[in-house]
Amino acid sequence: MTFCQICRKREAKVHYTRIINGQKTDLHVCNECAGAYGVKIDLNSLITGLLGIDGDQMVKQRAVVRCDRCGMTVEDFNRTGKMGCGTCYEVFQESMQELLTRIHGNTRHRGKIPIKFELKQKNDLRIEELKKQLEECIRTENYERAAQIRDEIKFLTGERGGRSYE
Amino acid sequence: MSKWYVDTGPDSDVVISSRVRLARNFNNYPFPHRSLPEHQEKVIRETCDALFSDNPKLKETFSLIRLHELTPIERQVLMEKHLISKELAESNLNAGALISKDEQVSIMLNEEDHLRIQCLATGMQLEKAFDICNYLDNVIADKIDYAYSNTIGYLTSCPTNVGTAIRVSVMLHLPALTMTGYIKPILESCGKLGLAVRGLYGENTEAYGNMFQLSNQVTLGKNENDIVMSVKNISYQIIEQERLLRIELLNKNNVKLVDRIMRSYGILRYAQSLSSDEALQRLSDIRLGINLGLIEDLTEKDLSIMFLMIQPGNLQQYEKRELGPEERDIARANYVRKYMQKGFNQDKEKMD
Repeated sequence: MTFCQICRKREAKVHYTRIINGQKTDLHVCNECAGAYGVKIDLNSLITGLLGIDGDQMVKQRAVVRCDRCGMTVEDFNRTGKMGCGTCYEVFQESMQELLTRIHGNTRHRGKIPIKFELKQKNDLRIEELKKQLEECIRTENYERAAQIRDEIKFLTGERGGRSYE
Repeated sequence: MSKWYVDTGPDSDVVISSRVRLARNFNNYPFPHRSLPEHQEKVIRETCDALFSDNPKLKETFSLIRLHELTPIERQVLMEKHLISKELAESNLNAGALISKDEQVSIMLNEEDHLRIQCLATGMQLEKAFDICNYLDNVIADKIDYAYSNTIGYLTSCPTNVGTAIRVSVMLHLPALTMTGYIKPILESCGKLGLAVRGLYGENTEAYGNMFQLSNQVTLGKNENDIVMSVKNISYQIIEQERLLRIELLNKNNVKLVDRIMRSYGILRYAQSLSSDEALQRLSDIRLGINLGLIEDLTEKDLSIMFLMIQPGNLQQYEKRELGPEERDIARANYVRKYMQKGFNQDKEKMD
């Protein structure tokens, strides 16, 4: 008799195969864990088993092991397979990069950008551009124009400030 | 208003339904499993405000459901209609869902992520489903600060969803590929192409009514349109194979195939007790019979209704009481038998 890989108590009657990028993983579970209908196995345990963050290594690397915003630790992640908040992705950035490469084969978003971020990106680009113009104006001693540009930069950075975290 | 699943969509001879969902999180609160009940309440309120404040039409379309106010059977019914996930149905959080009147769109609140915007459609209609999700996402994003990173995109509870946070899936009915065993190599090559196949296959394949759900696995590094197109293109290759094989089966093994389909028809029409597995398999045979022009007094629409109504939650809601497994088998047989003898025309009209 094969035991269920999730509860390790009952007999495994459902044989589930998960394939990611050609990597095949077999999972044998009991009916209860598989759910009577529309198999919705919680794959978190499987994912974390395969892709857990190496806590020891992080300690050695003197990396932060707790998110200062939501309090998530490496152990929490390895247990649940879930991040605690958006900031976790910054705090655990290094390990995340590796994890994301293993899951997606990629670490760069190429899809949709939320409207607010799109505006912010445009804003940032405009500020960069204005800063260059400002330098140029100072160099050519066009102080009147420089003052205008400085005001515009102030306005734009102020607006962006209003959109920043919390 | 007509429910989405009683319509027939493009390529409905093989494609049962299309589904697109976007996962989104608020930047201001921790993800649901680490957030406080008051955060969860704010997520629900702020989402409603963002959607409805400038859009009275959306307010008329959606109704807010709070999971803790539902009975277990009501939760199961929503799950069987794919309007909420199993995770949400079993949630202990302050969870909710905004569900559209036609039951095509649902926004799950405080599931694994703060928001799961999802759209269902019959047949192959992935672009339409995506457009609807995208529209609702834009309406919300106008008011809400999402958890988003310039480098890795939309941030989600589970790193497997990061990036576009999109899941694009189609439910395919593949009886001919299953009968002939060609299904295995096809599903394996789907894996190599980055698609996940869900549903039971291997030993229990046939028991699940020959239904297979294909969905994208990778969410980071490709844009939404490319993901939709890749699921669609790979699906069409499978769909073509299934169609060719159906015709070949009919030409080669005519008597054997027709006999199988007609036996199923007879059983559904007269059986007094039906297990869920058997009912799903028999309905699959009948669906194939309709597609091949062998059965003319039933339509794909009838099959969709029966497929939904024989599931435990819907069956118990229909009977208006809790049923044990044996009682369910009897109730299931009763429902199907009466439906097939056209005694339930009134119900059909009600569903429309």
